[in-house]
Amino acid sequence: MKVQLQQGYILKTTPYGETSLILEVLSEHHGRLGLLAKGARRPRAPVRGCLVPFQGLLLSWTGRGELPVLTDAEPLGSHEAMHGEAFFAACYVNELVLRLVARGGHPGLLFMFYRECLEGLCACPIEPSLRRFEKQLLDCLGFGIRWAWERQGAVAVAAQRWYRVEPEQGVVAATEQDGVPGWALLDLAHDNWRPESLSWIFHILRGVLLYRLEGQGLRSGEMLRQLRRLTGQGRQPATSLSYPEA
Amino acid sequence: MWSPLLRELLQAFRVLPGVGPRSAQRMVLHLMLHNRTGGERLGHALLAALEQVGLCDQCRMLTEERLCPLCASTERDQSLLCVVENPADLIAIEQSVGYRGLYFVLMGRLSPLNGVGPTELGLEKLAARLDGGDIREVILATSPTMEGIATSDAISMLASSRGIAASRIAFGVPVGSELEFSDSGTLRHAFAGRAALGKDTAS
Repeated sequence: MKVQLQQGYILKTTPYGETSLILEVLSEHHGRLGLLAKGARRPRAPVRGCLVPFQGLLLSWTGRGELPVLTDAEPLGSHEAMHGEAFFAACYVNELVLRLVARGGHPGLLFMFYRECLEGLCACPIEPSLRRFEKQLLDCLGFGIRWAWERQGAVAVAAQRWYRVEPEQGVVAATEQDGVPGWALLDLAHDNWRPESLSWIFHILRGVLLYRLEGQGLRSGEMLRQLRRLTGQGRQPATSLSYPEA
Repeated sequence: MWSPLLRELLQAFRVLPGVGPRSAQRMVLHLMLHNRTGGERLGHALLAALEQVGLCDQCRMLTEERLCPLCASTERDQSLLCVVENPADLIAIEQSVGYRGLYFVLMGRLSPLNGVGPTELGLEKLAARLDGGDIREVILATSPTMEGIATSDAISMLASSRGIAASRIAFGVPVGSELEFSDSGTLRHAFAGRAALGKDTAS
C-alpha cells in the first residue's frame, strides 16, 4: 500500500540500527501508526532535520503491517520551536497520546485537536490548551464524561453544589470535604477556562486520566518538577502548568 | 568455518559502529595473521580504559583521574563555562575555536519521551557548580534541534535564576555556503540571530 503526502506529526523518534529511525506518528487520515525511516540519521539524508516532533509534516510511506517504510517527508509551513515550559507541555501531550492511543488506533477528530493544542501551546497561557486537549482526548477515546450532568444525564449539575467525578459513572453528588464545586464542572463542560476554575479542572481531569493511565504518571511532568526545583520555582501554583503524577 | 574463539572475536568487533560482518572478518584476519603485537596492545588498552576511565568530577568529560586535564589546568578561564551535549562536541570546540574557559558535558539532551531529563543530564551537578560562585558566564553550545534548544532553555533558566549571564552559540548559514541552498529553518535562525555591524564588529 502506498500513501502519498499525508498530513501528520511525529510523536516520538527512536534510533533503529546505525542510521535509521522508528517514528511514532499521528496522521490525519490513518491515525496512530509506526513508520520506519531508513537511513534518516545519515549526515546527508534528505529528511534529516525535518523528522522532529511538533512540526507539521507531509508524510509518504509504503508497505503494510506493523511498520511501513517512510518514503518522503516534507515540512508543512514554518516551524516554531517550543521554548521552556511549552516544550515540556508539548512532550506531555505527546506522551498522553502515546500512552492512551495504540498503533492502529484512529480516534476521530484527535488529529485536529492535537494540531490546535500545539498551536495553543505556542501562545500563552498554555494551561487552557492542555486542559482542553485532555478533555477532547477523553471524548475521542470514548471515555468522555457529561460534566454538566449527574450520573451521565439524570440531573443537571448545580453551580453551588458539590460533586465527585467517578471515571466510569461520571459526576456524582458529594460534600464540600471530598468534592469539587459545581461551577468548576460547568466551566469544564462549557470550555470556560477561568483562572479560578483551572486548578479545580486540573484535579478533576487528573483523577480521570490517572485512572485511564492505570495509575502510572507521565515522565514529562516529573521532569518539569525536577527542573523547577533546580531553578527555585518548585512552589508554583497548580494552575501554572500541571500534570498527572503517580 | 570459524573456531569458537574466532567466532566470538568476530561478534565482538561488530559492537563498533559501522562494522559489519565483512569489516569484522578483515580486522580479525589482519590481527591474527599480520599484527599480533598490535592486537595485544589493543586488548590491554581497551581493558585498562574500560576499567579505569570514568567521568570527571567537575565537567563529566571522560577521564581516569578525578579531574580531567582541562578542569585541572590553571591556565583556563575559571569564570567561563561552555555546556556541550557530548565529549565529541567538546573535542570539536577545543580543536577549532580559541576558547579558553571550562566545560560541562551533559552526555545527551533533554528528551522526556525517551526518559532523558534533568537528572540524566547531571543538571544537579551543574546547578551546584553554578552555585559555587566562580562562573560569570555560561555559553550554551547545544545542537539547534528541538531538544537541543529546549536543553539550552532549561540551562539558561538555571543560570538566570542564579544571576549568571547565559549566551548561546549562533545558528545560521555555514561559512562558504550559498544562501539560496540553505533550508528555511536555518535561514530563519540566521535572521533571528543577526548581529549588528559596527566599527567594533565589522572584521
